[in-house]
Amino acid sequence: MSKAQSPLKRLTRELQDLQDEPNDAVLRLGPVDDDLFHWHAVLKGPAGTAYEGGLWALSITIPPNYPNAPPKVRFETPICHPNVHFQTGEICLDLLKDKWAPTITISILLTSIQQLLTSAEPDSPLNVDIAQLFRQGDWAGAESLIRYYTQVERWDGR
Amino acid sequence: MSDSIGITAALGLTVLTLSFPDPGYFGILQENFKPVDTSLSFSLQENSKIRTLSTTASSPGEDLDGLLYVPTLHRGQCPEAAGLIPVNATRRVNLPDTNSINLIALAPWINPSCTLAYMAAAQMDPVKTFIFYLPDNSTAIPPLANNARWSIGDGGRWKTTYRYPVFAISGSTGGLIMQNLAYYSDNVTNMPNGEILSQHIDPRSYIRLAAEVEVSGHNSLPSLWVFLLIVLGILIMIIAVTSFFLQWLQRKRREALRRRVISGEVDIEALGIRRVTVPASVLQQMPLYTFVSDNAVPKSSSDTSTQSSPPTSSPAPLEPPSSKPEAPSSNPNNPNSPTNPIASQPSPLPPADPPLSEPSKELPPHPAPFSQPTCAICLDDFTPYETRIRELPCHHIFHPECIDPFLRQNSSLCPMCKLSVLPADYSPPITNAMVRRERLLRRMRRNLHPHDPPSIREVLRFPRSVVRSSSGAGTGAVAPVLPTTEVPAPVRVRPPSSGGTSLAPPDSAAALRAQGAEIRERMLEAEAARAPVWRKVVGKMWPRLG
Repeated sequence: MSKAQSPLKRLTRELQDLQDEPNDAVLRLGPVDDDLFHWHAVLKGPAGTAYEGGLWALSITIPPNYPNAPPKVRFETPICHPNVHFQTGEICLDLLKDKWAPTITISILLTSIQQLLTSAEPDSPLNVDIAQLFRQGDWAGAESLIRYYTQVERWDGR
Repeated sequence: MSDSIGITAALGLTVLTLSFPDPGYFGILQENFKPVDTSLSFSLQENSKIRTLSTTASSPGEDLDGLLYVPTLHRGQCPEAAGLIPVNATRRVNLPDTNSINLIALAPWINPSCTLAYMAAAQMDPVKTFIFYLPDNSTAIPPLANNARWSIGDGGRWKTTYRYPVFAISGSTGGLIMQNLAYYSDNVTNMPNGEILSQHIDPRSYIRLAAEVEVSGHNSLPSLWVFLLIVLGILIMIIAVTSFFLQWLQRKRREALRRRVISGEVDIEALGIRRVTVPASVLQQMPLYTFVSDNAVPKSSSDTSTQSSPPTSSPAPLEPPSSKPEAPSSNPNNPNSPTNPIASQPSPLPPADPPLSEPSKELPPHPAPFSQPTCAICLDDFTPYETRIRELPCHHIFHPECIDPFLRQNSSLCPMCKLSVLPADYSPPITNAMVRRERLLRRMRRNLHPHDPPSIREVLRFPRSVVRSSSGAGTGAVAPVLPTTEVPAPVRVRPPSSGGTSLAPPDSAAALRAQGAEIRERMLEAEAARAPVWRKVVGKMWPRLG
C-alpha cells in the first residue's frame, strides 16, 4: 500500500496558487509563522448582507492526513450566525465534515464559509438565539442583531 | 459420597416398634408400616447422647432409618459378644428376606476385631447405618470420634472401607435397645403385651424395632438454594434463547440486506451509516496507466484510436461507460508510428517509486477520456508519458499515490464528481446499524405513502452518490465550490437499479443531496419520536436490537 503523501507539497502548491489568484472572500489568508499546518484567515462579510463590512479572524488547523481529511476551521472573532458557536467559534458546515473532498482547497473552503454567512441553516443551530429569530421569521430582529455584532466584534487588525 | 468434614452429624436417635405385614405377600408399601401403640410397645428417644464416628456415604439432611437388627457373625468370630447379645435378639433371619427394606445394624463395640467382624457382616446386608455402643452400661455420652476408644488400629481406614455411616450411643441406651431387640424378634404372642397386641394386629405380621437417626443439615435452606438455582437457570436459559434468537434474526436480516445491496435494490451509501471505503481488490481492478496529454496527441491520431480525447472545453457528459480502457489501447501499440510525432520519445519511464507493490491492471499509456491536466488531490500537473495515473470508473484520473489512500481509508466516492467507484454488485460488510437504518427508512417510506406499495427503489431512487444522508447533526447546506480545473462530471448511470434517472448537473445535485439529507434527517427524528415507548426502552437496553 502506498503511503499518503505529505500534505506539505499540496499546501505549498495551494499557497502558490493563492498568490497567483487571491481570494476575494478574504482579506488575508496564509500560514501563521511559516507553519504550513496552521493557517490564519480574515474573512470579509459579503456585500449586500447584514454581514457587510464585517471582518472575522479564523484559525485553520491542517491535519497530518490532509487533504484526505478536512482541516479544522474556527472563528476567532465572535460572529453572530446560526451555524457558528458564538463562544468557541465552531462552524457547523457539511464541507468540514462528511461532505469533505480532497479536491477542496483552503481557499475554496473559505469561499464556502463566506457563502454560509448568507445561507444559514437555522434548523441545526450552534447559536440558538439568532437561530430562533430566523425560525420565527423575525428578519428585522435578526438583521439588527447581526449588524450589531458585525460592528462590535469586528476584527481590529490584531 | 466421601466422608467430608462435618456434613453429617447425628442429632438424635428415635427407636420405636413397627408392625408390618409380610412383604412376601403384601409387597413393601410405605403405608403398611405402622407404629405400634407406644404404651404397649417399646419406644425410645435419644436426643443428645449420640456421637458420629463416620459419615461415609451419608448426605446432610437425609435422615437414616431402617429396621434394627444385630448382624450375624461367622461361627467363632468374636466370642466375647456371647454374653452381651441376647440369644434371641433380632437377626437378619428374623426380618423379611428382602433387600428392599432398609436396615440399621446395632452391636456392642467390644474390641477392634469384633467391630471389624460386625461391620463386615453388616456390609452384606442393606444397612443404612451402623450404631455401636460401648458395653459399659454408662449413661454418659460416648467419647468423641477421635478418641482412642474408637481406634481399630488401621488409622481410620475402616471409615472408608464400609460404605455406611457409623454412630455411637451410650452404653445404657445401647443395652436397652439390645434387650428389646430380643423381645421383638419373633411372634407377637411372645412379645411384651403380646396378648393385647395380637388382638389388634394380624399375628402373621412382623412386629420389629425400627430406628431413625436424625442428622444435621435438615432444614429448608437447601431447598431454597435449589429454588434459587432453578430460577437462575431458567433466567439464563431465557436469556440464552433470546440471545440466540436475536443473533439469528440479525444475521438473517444482514444477509437479506446484503443480497439487496448486491442486487442494486438498496444503496448502502445512502444509508449514511458508515463511510464506505474501497477494498484493495476493487482498487486493483481500476485501470492504471501512463498519462498522455490530449494536447500532445495530434488530431490525426484520433483515426487510430476509436475515441479521441475531448478538448477541455467540450464536456462529454454521456460517455459510454465501460469499454473505455480497452478502446484507446491501439494508440500506444504503435508509438513509433510516423503519424505520431510524440511517439519518437522513449517509452514511458518507470516511476521512481511505484506506489503500489501489488500487481495492478497496468495499461499502456493512452490519453485520459477527459482533459484533466492536474491531479485534483495534490494539485500537481501530470507529465505526459511520465506520470502514472489511475482512472476511476467515472473516468476521472488521479495520481495513484493520491487517490489510493483516499479511497482505501476515507471514501468510496470520486473526489471530483462524488460518484461511487465501487462496482454495482459490491457490498461492504453489513452491520446491524445498517440493517436498522435501512429498516427505519423503509418503514418511514411506507408511513409516508401508505397507498403505494412499499418499494425501496423509490426511497433510494437517486443514483448512489446523489443522495447521501448526512450523519452529523445537521449541517449547513452549501454547495461545494469545485476546482476550476474540473471538467463537467460525466454521470455514469449505474446499470442495474437506477437506470433512467435524470442526470443532475453538479450544482443541483449538491442541492438535491443536501435537501435529501435534510428531509431524511427530519424523517428519522420524527420516526424516532413516534416510536412506541416499549421500543425505545428495548432500544436502550439492547441497542443492537432494532
